[in-house]
Amino acid sequence: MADLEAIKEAVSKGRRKDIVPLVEAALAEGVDPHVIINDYMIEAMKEVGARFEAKKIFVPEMMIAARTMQEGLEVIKPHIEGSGSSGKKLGTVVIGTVFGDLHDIGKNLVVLMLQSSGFEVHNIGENVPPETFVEKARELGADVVGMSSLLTTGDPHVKATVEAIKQSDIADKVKVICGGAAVTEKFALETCGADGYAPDAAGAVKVTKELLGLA
Amino acid sequence: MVRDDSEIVFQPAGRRVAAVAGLSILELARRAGLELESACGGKGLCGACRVRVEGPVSAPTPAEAEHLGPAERDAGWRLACQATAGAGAVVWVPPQSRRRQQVILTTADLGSLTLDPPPGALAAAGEGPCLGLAVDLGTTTVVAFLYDLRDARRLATAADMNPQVAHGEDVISRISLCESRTEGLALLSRLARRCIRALAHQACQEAGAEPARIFAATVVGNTAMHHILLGLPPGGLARPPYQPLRGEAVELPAYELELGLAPEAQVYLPPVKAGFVGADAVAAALAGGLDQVEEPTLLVDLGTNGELVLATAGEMLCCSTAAGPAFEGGQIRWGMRAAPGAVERVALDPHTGEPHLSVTGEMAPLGICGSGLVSAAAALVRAGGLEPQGGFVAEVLGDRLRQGDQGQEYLLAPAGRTGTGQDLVLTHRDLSQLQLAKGAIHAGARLMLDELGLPGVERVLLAGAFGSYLDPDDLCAIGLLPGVRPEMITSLGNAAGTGASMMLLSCSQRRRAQQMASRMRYLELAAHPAFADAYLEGMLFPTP
Repeated sequence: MADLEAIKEAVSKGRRKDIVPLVEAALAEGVDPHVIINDYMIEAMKEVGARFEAKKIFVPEMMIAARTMQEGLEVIKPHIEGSGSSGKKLGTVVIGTVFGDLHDIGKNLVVLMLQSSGFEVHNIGENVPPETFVEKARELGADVVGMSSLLTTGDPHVKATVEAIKQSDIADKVKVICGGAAVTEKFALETCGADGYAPDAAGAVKVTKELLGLA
Repeated sequence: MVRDDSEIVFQPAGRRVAAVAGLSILELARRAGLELESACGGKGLCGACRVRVEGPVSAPTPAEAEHLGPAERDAGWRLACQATAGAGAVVWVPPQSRRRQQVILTTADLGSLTLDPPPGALAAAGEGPCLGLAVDLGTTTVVAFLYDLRDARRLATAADMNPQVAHGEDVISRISLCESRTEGLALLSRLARRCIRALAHQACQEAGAEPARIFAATVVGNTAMHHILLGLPPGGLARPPYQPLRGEAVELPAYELELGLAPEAQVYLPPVKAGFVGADAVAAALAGGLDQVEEPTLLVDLGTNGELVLATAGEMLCCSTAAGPAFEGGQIRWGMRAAPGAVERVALDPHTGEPHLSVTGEMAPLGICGSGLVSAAAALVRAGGLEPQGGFVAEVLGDRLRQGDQGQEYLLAPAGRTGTGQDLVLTHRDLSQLQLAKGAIHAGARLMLDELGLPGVERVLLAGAFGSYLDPDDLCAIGLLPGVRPEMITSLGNAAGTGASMMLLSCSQRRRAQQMASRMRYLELAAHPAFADAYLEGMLFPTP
């Protein structure tokens, strides 16, 4: 009998060595891949997000857990391709690191957390100019655009990116969220005019849900 | 004492300053002649500038909510860079928020080298004394070594804090200043030049010599310090492709930098390799003799920006990795720099589990510095008290573990035995900061080994002051470097200063450094596809 609770625990505890054999065993026994993802892995990540918010775990543990889930997903992926989506996409998020900044780890964690919460997420990479944020958001039909900035020298680029979106034709269609170590709530909301600010990956999921009326 | 209600009083120093609306307490403290810790340069990010305010004060900002627990806020604790105080307020500055004199490492052991100083210096000196100055221009500290160029005798050593620290502690905040204010670069450049000039003066006084008899100087520093000293805009160093404006070796007349040396004196700056691998790394590689190694040798400079050089008999690879401030005590709840009052070593009693603390200056502990943090984590790893992914093991640590404002915390010393009158704790969040730092270093080492197809290193050379305080056993216990055992580790002390001294005394060492710099290959980690995995792997604590 496949131990699905063990999959959940491996993700939430970040036991990377355990996840692949556990998922393989479950798939071999014919467990529905969507059940593994939605009922166990996403549940595990919800727990991780809550523990993070309660300061019971911190960034490294959350990153390791998210990475563990990703490794499990890699195993599952070939089994769900062509079988349609898992059915519940909460919204589409386009996310990138602002121009002049190559940091990707924090942003990728946000991508993982949003994906594992059921959002369709398009990671448009690092060092992204403002106009590319606008183009990609338009092209992919984004509901939310997220941007990350880790360098204190990135402030003007965050502002320019928010303004580019707010002055574009898609201004009414997308909500803009800023985050990253160099960004403060005051700067994001008051100086730049963003719709939301996320201090960390768990916060990013929360504010995305709030802005889309899902919370 | 007459109380003047238009003033703000800083206690326990008793300094008074006129209240100015809109100025942060940090700025007011500066006006009152008090320097507070502010690792982030006053952005509300580091939480180092805690003060307790009585009287009129602004409402707490979100940054303060992030760093201060509800109990602290209720007791009046604030971040000086965020809060503004009104007339009549009394600001209590606790010892750990005061900037302290750092313990600066000055040893420079040159080993054997051929004495062939710049011929121009000897010619200009004629019959009189012919002196030289080797300078390690660090982000935090500046050290100058005064030599007799005729016999390579070291006459004096002088060290001071880099005065640029007042404008932000890390390189990025200084680069930001140069970018955001037109006079920023000129200001920082002037501070660096003045500091070198003052150290030359100080060293000469100690040696009973005249700065006008200094005919040659070498200066090494990271790329930002190098650019700022030369008045080159450093903005490009913080932006892709992170390239220096000038990478080759530079020699220029000392009067152009207003160093107050002999009019004929020339200043030599060795090559810089990349935006975040500077002349200091090249100098350290020279001091470590990395061009002559036979077995794979890793040179590690542990700082906010970790610089690593991996050398084999045939190749030399360098990289820089963003370790963050944890190794310097930054972003740590009771973190402080290596100064009197800092816990530098922690051992757990094998029977009772009681922590024994070694404190710099043999006093009651005020906080914990980088080596103390590493040592504390190492002690907990050995006791089986840490989860590999981070966090404490409650069953092992018992009632020293408790719930604090910022998550779980481990009691290192109770209030009655500290110099702050408060409990000294190691928090779960502190561990996470250490994990981020060690993950970055570990990933840099791992990816360099992979790049050269090596299974592991044979020797590790630790450069920089921090390395000398670190216990190799502790370093291995926390799993900082892949596959490294304590006996492989040697500390070089101030390797950058040693390299600078070698290049001062010997033109052939300058050529050697230039060859090493051109041989060195730079490995960019930020864009490396395997970085994320190596980074996460490096964050794990070993299991005992």
